[in-house]
Amino acid sequence: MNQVLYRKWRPQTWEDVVGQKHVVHTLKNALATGRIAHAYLFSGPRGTGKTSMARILAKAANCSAEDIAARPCNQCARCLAVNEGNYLDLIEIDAASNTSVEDVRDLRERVPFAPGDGRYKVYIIDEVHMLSTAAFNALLKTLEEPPAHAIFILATTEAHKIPATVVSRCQRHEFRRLGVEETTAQLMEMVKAEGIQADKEALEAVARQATGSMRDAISLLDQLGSMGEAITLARTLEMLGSTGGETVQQLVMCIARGDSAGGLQIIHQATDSGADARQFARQVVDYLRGVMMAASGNTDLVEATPEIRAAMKDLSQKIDPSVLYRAIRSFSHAAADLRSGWRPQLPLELALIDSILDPGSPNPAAGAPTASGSSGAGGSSRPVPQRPAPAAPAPKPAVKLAEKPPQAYAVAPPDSGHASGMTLARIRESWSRVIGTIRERDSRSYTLFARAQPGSYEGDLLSVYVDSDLVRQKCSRPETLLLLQGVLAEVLGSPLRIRFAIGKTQSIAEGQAKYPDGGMVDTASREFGAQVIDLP
Amino acid sequence: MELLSEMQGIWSPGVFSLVPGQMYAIFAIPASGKKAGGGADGKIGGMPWDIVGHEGAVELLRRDISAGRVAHAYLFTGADGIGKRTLALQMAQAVNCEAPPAPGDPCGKCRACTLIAAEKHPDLFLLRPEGSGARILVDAAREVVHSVMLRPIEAARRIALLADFHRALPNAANALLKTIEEPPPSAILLLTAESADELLPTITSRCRVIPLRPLPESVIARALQERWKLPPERAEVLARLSGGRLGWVIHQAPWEEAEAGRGELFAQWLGILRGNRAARFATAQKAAEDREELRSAMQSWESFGHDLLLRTLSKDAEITNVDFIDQITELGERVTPGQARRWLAALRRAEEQIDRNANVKLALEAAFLDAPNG
Repeated sequence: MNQVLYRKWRPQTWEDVVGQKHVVHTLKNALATGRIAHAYLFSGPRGTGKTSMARILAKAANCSAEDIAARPCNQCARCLAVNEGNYLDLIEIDAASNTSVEDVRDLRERVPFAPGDGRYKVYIIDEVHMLSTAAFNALLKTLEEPPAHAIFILATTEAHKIPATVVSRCQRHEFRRLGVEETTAQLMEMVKAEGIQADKEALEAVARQATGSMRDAISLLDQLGSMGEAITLARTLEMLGSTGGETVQQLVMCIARGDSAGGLQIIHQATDSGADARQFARQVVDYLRGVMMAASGNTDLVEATPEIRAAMKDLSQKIDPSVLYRAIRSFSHAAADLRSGWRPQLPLELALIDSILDPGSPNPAAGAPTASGSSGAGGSSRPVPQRPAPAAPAPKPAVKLAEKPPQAYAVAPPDSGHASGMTLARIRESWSRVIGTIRERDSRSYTLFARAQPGSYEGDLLSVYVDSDLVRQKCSRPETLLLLQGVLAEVLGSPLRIRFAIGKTQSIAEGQAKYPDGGMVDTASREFGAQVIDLP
Repeated sequence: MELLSEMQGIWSPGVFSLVPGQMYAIFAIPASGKKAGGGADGKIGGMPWDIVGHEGAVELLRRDISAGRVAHAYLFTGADGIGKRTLALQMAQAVNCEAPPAPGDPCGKCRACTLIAAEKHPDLFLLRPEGSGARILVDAAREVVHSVMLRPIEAARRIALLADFHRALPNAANALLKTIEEPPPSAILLLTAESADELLPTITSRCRVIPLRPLPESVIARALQERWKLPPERAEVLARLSGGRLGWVIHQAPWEEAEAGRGELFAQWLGILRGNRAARFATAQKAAEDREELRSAMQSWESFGHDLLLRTLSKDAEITNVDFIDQITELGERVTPGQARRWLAALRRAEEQIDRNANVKLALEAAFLDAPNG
């Protein structure tokens, strides 16, 4: 009967277990000194040897070899029976399919019976995290004081799901992830024994992919080996769906340049030629992380060849840091996107566009310089009279405005033209978009601006009307002002100076429309097709 | 082995959750046409297995079977309609065929092959969540455990085909862990799932993963013409729309109706962009009425949205919905990439929310408000 390699190569002795020296050491010592605990909890990531170790311990506890140090001998009848999976006194329970309290009660009733053949009756409860709460509780007393002949070994990948009362009754052993080197060494040994030809680099790639799980690594090796050809790095990468480093680098260059069309082309080519989209996203994140490290001067932390490091360093000086962080965020999001089934490259494309476009994140810093820069264009030589510009000076004139009746502004023709072609009408037209953008970026400021209306526009000074003095004060805070300024510049394409004033927009709009722009009646008739009727 | 008494299904939904962000081995089978290695394979002419495409995966399975090294558990992954279950059934045939024409090939004619193809073989245990949104419950999983433990009735191997395993509840998946790791030698478990990342990492790690990649358009177009006798033009359009999923195309039949349906969906989508809120809400209300239909409608809308986004970014980007290329291009000139991005994100968000049992109408309305004005 053919078995997959990971079952065939299940460790049978202490020495066979890879990478868990700390556990092996403790358990062997316990055996040698005859101090076997009555309950163990083995926890750790998948494929690190929990179940195997539990079976070895069970064998060693019952082995009939004279020399304690030689246990398990794998020669005596008991050891052989365990290896074949039919030893009477080793009871392996699948807790994931026997989760209920009834199952545990049943088990508990049998524990008192003495072992039939060996010294100990060993209970391996695998996947123990799946037991129900009641089942765990039913186990507590037995686990605390079992009869002398019983050993419990609980194994799980999810130790955090085990109640503290259970954990405290067990001797706990943490299994750790295997390093790339350990895994590779083991794979080399297996390859030799199985007569498979394989390059060391290929096995290293397999080990890296397995992220510390020996079973994953062996499964991969099994699949590579089943093709019946020598295992080379190129073939391994192809099978892993990895993309060549150049492609990743090109894509990152596109991000740095802001070239979305080129980036889309690269993604298209990569996925067409067999790259796994999620794997590709991870590779991009890895590369970007390297660039980030290089930007902060920690190039040594990056695992890469000197050439790639140099390229990363070079790129780190060209790329805008905010783009870099955004790209890392959006590509890690893409790597974790599970719902990509029917069009795997879509999350990648979206991540690319998000990195380059950034429609969502607040960017007041970028808006500010352009705003003040252009207002400076009118009087760059005299920064002092730049009175109503951002920040602090705003409140004062605004207070004056509030005292003046709004008609002072109504007098000014609504379409008071300006050099830039900006008119009040144009601002009004785009106002809902401005507010919409603000809502996306900063919902708190949105509540301030929700009822604000552009009041007048003179020179390049836009007066925005708000309801009350409180709102005006809050709006006039530098950060809020900058936010509005930035968004306005973005939406209208040219920067404006802004001040806030208390006023009613209706009075301005009266002359033009029957119902105030953006008011309830207006919205209802525009958006929902409402009609105004006169009551009799 | 001591057996525990009758199982009782006690489980608490929501307590156990999938472990996100775990990484595991993902294979890609070499895409068709570029077989790895020297190409010393004599069987290039007639495809021994009755399946379109996926040559790499078939080759791998044939090798496993003919070399007598069939693994105890396989996991086929790929998008809905890509051919996972077809391939798994073929695999079951190849393993149990009574008169294989060549090692690793099914004959397709013997009793075992015909019964498996009809999904009626006594040694084939088929588990599949019925209906969209159905989940695999722990009781069903226990039935699998029980069935797998039985000796084969007449075939060489007992085969459990667990379709759409990503829809297994966490405790159902957990209940199968031990069985998937070490089933009796007579049993083979074949799992299918949309993506390995959606399963418990402990499940994936126990299976040999066979990821199926979308088929190239040309392969689908040719298959549609040769096997389903479609006129070339229609075959091309359907192949483009399929996203590499032949099963999806077959599912669309009759195609005349599907085409009309698509036209209607596109009109709806345009209507959302052009309409005011009242019109958008009306569309949402109408779409929310039929949830089965809604799924494919959402996919089409997303696909249109995706194309629109691509067109806003670049005039000559390749798009999927070639039959609506003029309208989409024209829209692309008026809509900014940011708007198109937001619109697509809104649709995807709505789809996700609906999958999680959100109020369908509400989710759609919220999404439609983010549509750009076309």
